[in-house]
Amino acid sequence: MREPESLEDSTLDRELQALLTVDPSPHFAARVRMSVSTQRVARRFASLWLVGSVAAAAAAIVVGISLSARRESLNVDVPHIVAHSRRDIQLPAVPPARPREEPDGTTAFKPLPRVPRVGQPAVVVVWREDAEAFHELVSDIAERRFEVVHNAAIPQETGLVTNVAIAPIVFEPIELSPIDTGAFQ
Amino acid sequence: MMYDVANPLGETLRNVRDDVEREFERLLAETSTLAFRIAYSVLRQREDAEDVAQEAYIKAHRSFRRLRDRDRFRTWLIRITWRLALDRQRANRRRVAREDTHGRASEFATPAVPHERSREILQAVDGLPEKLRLTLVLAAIEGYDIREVAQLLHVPEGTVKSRLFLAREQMKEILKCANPSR
Repeated sequence: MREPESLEDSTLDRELQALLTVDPSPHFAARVRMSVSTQRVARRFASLWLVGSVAAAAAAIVVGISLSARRESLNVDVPHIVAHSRRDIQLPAVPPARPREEPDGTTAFKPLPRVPRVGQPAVVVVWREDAEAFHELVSDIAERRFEVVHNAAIPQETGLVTNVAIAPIVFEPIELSPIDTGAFQ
Repeated sequence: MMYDVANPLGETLRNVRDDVEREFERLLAETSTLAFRIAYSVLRQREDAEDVAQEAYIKAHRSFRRLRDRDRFRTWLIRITWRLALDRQRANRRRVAREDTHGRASEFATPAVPHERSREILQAVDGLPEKLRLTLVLAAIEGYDIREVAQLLHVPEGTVKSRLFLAREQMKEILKCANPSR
């Protein structure tokens, strides 16, 4: 009873084997090898690229932080003098906009004059050295700690260089030759 | 611990990498036909089967270093190839369905099979449950015996025996239904 069934099994197996036992093309293994190695190189390149981009991002962050720190230190080092205007600008009262009757019966609004901003002081930013020199000058003037003298009156013993050897500039008059004005004669 | 000047860490790592690559090359040479045939048993198109097998090797290579037991490479490769082939088959079927709805002739419609009997057998194989199908295909394509198939699938021999029996029975049923006169 088992004979025909087992025969059928083996026939089936043989038929199936004949149908599925197909060989790949001769270049298949080489092609696979090539694609694997290409992928390997691509992966290595990708990992290098990743490392490079991370390093670049880190460098950019460091540069950004250092720049912002430098900017902050500059802000600290450079004091500024804020000169406030003591005068309040008195502006004439601006009448409210009123509609104006046009000859054709339409209504038009006259544009309001531009109103300047009031009460905002002028801000002057100068370097610390300039500000200090300026303050020193102002306080010296206020306390009369110096004397205004003429260059010629400075005595020699003060040690100041008064006679700077500057060659005098001589302006020579240009002699103009008479123009040949034969046409007018 | 002494520092080996002649064989620093970088060189050791390079050597390990080279060893891994050589082993992968060896396994590729041993198993390339097997991978292709598994893909072909599902797809029945040479180009598709080669593409799928190639993709399987690329995947396998990507994770090859993490594979601790290199003796299981074949099992691993078979599973990868089988999965990818089934995915490709499904994609092809979807493409065929899409092209049919647009009224275009499809190149994937029916793989070229010479005889009516062969077509019936392959359809019967396609109609089997996945586990039975893979067991039957492995037994057929390489002429593996039950022990070898059990090793490849990492299942007991008894399981392979019962799967083969069930696969053949179901195939006979399918073939009988397809052609009642036989």
